[in-house]
Formats: sequence, C-alpha cells, structure tokens
Amino acid sequence: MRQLVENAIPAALARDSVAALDVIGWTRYAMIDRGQYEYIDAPSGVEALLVLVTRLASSQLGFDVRPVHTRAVRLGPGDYVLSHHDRRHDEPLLECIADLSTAPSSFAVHYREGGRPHFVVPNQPLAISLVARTAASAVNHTYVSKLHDGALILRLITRFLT
Amino acid sequence: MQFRSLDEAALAAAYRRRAPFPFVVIDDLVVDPDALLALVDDEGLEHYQSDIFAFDATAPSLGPGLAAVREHFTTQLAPVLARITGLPLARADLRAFAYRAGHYLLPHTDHQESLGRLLAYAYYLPSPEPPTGGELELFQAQLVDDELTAIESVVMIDPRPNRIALFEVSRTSLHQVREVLAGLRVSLAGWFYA
Repeated sequence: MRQLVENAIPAALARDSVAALDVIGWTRYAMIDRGQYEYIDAPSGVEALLVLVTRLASSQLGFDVRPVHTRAVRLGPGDYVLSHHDRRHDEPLLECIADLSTAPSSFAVHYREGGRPHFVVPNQPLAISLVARTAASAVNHTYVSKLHDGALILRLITRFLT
Repeated sequence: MQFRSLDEAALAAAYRRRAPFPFVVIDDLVVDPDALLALVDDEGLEHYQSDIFAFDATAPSLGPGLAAVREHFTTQLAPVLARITGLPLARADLRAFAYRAGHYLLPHTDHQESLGRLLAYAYYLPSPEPPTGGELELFQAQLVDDELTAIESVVMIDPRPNRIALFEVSRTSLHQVREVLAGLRVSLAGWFYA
C-alpha cells in the first residue's frame, strides 16, 4: 500500500493538534550525520487526530490496527532527516504521515524499498499518506532549503503493525 | 597545468596540529586556474540528488581534459601531499562540481573501509558568479558505540578561488558543504588513495 489521501484532516483538527504540540514543546535533534529537526515522541493532546489516522489505516487495510509508535516532527530551513537515521524494523508496518503544515512546499518525504524509489509524499497540508513498509524499506525527509525562509513543515508520523 | 611550489615543512606542521582532525588549506595552488574552469565548461555537468546532497557534477568517467588534470593530481600533487600529510598517497580521483543556489552536501565522513580513501580534497575554481554560502564546515565528533556523538562545528573554510582544502578521512572526519544561497561554487573534488 502506498497512497496519499488529500484533505483527510479537518482544518480545525489540524489547528488544534498543532496547538497541543506547541504546548508540549519541541525537542531539537541535532546528531547531524543522521538528521536535524525538532520532535515530540508519543505526544499527548492529539488523540482526536490519532483516532482519525487509525480509522483511515484500518479502513484502507480492511482490518483493525492500533498505533505502536507516534512521533511528531517539525522541520524548518536547514533541517532534514536522512535515510540512515530511519529506525530499522523487522515486522511489516504501515506508516502514516498526517501533514499538519500550514502551507505546502516542495520538501517531500521519500520512501525507498530495497534501495529503489517507492513513494514520494509531498508536503501537502491536511493530507495523510499511508505506506506499507518492510525490513528493506527506508525513508528520508528532504533537506529544507534556507532559501525558503518561512518554511515550516510539521508531520505526525504513526506506525501500525500489520 | 602547473602547481605553485609549496612550503612543505610549514604545511606539514599546520596539518599535524589542526583540529578537529588533520586538515590543511593551501591558497594559490595553481599557476593558471582560469584554464581549469574552461575544462569544466567543456566537460558538461548533470544534476545529482539524494537524501544527503544536491549538486551538478561531471559523470564519474571523465573526458580527456579533466582526465589529464586528474593525472597531474596523481603524478605531481600526490607526492607533495604525501610528504605534507605523512600518508602513503599514490593516486587521485577527481570530479568537477557546480553548486548553485539551493545546492548542498549534508554532514558525512567520507569514510568507507572498502574504498581506501585516505585524503579528501576540494579545489575551488574561479567562479563567474562568486557564491554566497558553500563553505566547507568541519565538525568535532566522538565515536561512541559506532555512532558519532558530541558533535560541534569547529572550522569553516570559504570556497576561495584557487584554494585547495584537504583533510584526512577517518570515521570521525565529519564535514559538510553548507548550502549555497546565491551564485555558483565550482570545484574539483575527490580523494587521494594509497
């Protein structure tokens, strides 16, 4: 499975979720040979969004799943997540990204499977992507150019065991 | 192609005492750098992009002009650099790179056990549009449990025309080319091997 569901998140829910994340506060990750970005692991306050993502994942899979890992990431100019920072996993997963950014940009998420391009998730606010992953898959979040001064990309990444 | 004569003793001393890892910067390396820029123009560049880089570069297999430059790096420069660095340098590889606005090379070490890279280099050509950004940034890092930690920016090297920056490749030789924000950064770069 690899798909993008456009306008999957109601705008008000996105706004509330971002506000909840900002209340928790972001942690800077700066092991720069792997990535540079801000994150919140297992964030609280975004339960309604998680319900929405879980319903969508279950609906697309045809059976019920529940989240096993959730992380919010925020990238501004100069930030990136390299593929060798991707957490290795042996079990088949479904990875969903809820795009909470306020504006679109050209900075995407790239999935590779066995080293080959598999799926590109554009930075498209209010969209949710669903990508099945195997032990041979890898993902990176594109470097955000400093030429795009106001760029701010916010993604809630949820993984489901399948 | 002709290299200027170098003060090897002074450069060797500078190379050994440098932090975060051994490196040296040599200005005014080549007698006629403009001729090299013409060779790059003749070669043709393609765009390359991955999660870690975005730039234009020549193909790995060189045309006759840059192949001759690579031969000069091997026969004339490698012996001098071997004396400066104390490394058993025998041959060089080379590609030409053009970093335009928005191009970058994110932090990495260049180290791959199987490749035998000993000394990395970047030689900066005169640019028709001198770049803003595009500095070579060197980081201090510690290797703990096979992972780099305690990373700190230590050195920033401007891509000044006719300058070569060289550093020893190791598991901690963490470096990056900072994003070019305007203009054009043209370089010849690669590694010296045993």
